[in-house]
Amino acid sequence: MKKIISILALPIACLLPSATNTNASVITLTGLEINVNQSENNLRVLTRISIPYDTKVDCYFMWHLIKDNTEELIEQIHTMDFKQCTNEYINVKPKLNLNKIGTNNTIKVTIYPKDTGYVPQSLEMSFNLKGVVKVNFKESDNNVGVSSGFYIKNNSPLDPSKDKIIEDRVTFTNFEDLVVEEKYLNFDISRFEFNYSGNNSKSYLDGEFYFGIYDKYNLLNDLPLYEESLYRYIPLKITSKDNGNNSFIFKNKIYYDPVTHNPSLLYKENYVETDKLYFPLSEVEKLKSNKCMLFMNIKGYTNFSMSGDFDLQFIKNYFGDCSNSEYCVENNYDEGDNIREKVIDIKL
Amino acid sequence: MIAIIFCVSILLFSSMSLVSTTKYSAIDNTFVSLNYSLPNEWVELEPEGYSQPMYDRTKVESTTISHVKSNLKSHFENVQVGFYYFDSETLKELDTRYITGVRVSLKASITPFRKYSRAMSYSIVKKD
Repeated sequence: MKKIISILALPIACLLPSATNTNASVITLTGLEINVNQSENNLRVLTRISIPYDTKVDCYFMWHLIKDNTEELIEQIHTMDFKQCTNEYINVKPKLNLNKIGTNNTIKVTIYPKDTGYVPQSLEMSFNLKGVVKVNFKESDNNVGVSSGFYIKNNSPLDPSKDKIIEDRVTFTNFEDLVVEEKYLNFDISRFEFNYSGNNSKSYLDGEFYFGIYDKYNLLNDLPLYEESLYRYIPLKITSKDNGNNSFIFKNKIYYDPVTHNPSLLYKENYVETDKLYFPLSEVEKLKSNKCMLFMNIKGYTNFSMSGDFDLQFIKNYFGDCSNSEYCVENNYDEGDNIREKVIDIKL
Repeated sequence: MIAIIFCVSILLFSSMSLVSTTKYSAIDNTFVSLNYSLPNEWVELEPEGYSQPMYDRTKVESTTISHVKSNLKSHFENVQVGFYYFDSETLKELDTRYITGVRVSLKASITPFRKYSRAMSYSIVKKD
């Protein structure tokens, strides 16, 4: 999950500069994309150009990074020659050390065809290096929203209207930092709802989502551990509710033992498939209060990650003592002999 | 001669009484101690459409038989266990696999003249 958390990718769709002469239209920068890999401490920038088939042209790229809106060119990131470009997309991926990136950045790529008949074109993209946004669910009563966005400046003097602000926004509608379940049994992750809005052209919200629970006593052994932490995690996916909001369901099948209530992501003999997270009955007291988290890596038009913590508490046993449980067993001695029972003879 | 017969009779009666008491204690303890295991043999089958904990009759029977065998094999040659399944709310008899009520009986001969027979009902109930 760390890798997923650490990668902040900012894909930009095609923005085509306006042509200033007829030749200019044959070479187009069709995309600019930034991927940040914090674990490798570098930033990969990728652009695509489109050149019609059979067009032979030599070109090279200039990459610039302008940070913290100073408009000062601080580095020429990469220059490379291209020969015999075809109409295939070409990915150019220079690396940039993250230490050189500020909070507010602009990446600029310019293509210089060596043929003087072509006009240099460039794309710019501004971005913030946010990393994972920590969300305070306690404020969710106020419909707290978290957004990520950046500004794409199309470097065409003829058509500045193509400049664009891209934003993804997530608004939590009923997230809580304290979830109290009336009974000790299971946890339904679909209780959390949120609203998504953004420039996402997809008809669905994509991303990676996880539920994590801090397993201090190592009781949830059949759930995967998040790296070397004590958090167990379960992948989630998004589902749409009737009210238009999004909520979560478990991404893969989840099982539990109907007797011990031990949960597992893998099927085991006698385990039953479920859509809720069950908690082991043998350790009721230790699991009555749990530290949990939700992690969301939204892959909308931008990419951004957020996580929030909440406490999950059970205030009542599900089954046990009749004075403190939702269900219990009542027993009565019965001396009656006239009941039609199933009798089994046991040879000892 | 009469005195000897009298003494032997007394001894025989005492030993039979001792055996009888031991066997009774063993089977009664076995029966009562079902209370500690059987009530917890419930299963939760919400995903299968049951909205509350249920008893699985196959598990109830295997648990009871195993409990009886392990506790009574040194005292009895054979015993009888009986099972009657019902709905804990309506008390109606049920023949489904999953139920909310079970009545377990235990019977055995302690001596040719003394029999053991007890039954206990276990009902899963919802508390408000």
